[in-house]
Amino acid sequence: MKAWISLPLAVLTGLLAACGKDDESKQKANDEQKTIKPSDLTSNNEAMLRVKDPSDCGYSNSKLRDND
Amino acid sequence: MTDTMISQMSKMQNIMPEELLISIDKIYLEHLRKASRSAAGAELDEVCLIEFIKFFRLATTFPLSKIQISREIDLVWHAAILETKQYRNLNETLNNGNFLDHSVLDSESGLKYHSIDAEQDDFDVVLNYFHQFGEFTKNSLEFWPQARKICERNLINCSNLNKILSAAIDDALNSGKL
Repeated sequence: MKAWISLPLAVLTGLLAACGKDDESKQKANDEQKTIKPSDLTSNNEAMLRVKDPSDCGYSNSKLRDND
Repeated sequence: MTDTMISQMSKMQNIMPEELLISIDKIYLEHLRKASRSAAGAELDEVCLIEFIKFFRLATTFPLSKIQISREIDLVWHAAILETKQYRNLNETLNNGNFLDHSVLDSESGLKYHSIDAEQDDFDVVLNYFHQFGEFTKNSLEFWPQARKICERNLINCSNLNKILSAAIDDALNSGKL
């Protein structure tokens, strides 16, 4: 068995803070990636299906129906 | 004790708990397996048994450590103690004869294994588990209340806990504490 290690709790607190920041920045990057811009929709029908409200993309329901 | 026995003992100190199972009497091992199955269920019985061995080694090697164990590990420990002769052998085989007592009456031991809730103690135990045995898995975490507490308190998962512990060990190495 290896020798017992004892580190101050501040080491854990510091590492947790760093880990938290890391996760936060990853989450921000993910959120940015998930944002669908109207320009993404013109050539991507699959992306269009994921949009909850078509008016967000500059289309109204009636316009979509007209195009059909 | 002969030189050969001492040599075998010292080699055993570096063997991982999974490998130590072969050195336990087969009938006794089966008894411990049944206790693990009964305590943790069929899916986690082997993990429970291994984690019991880890606890056993950690607690005997570092008698002052403030380890808190799960109910399942405690139940396996109770079953282990019931067979006194084999339990004594287990202490001799795995722990160089250092006997691991169980007591809930002795206030120190009672507190030591059942109700300590200090963040520093939690960190020490979890860090040293990692140092001796390596990463926690999602399954092994179930048997270490202090590790679960760190995760729950800080909203981190098992993978992040391992990363943090690894960084803490690096920190100890770099600062000359190891």
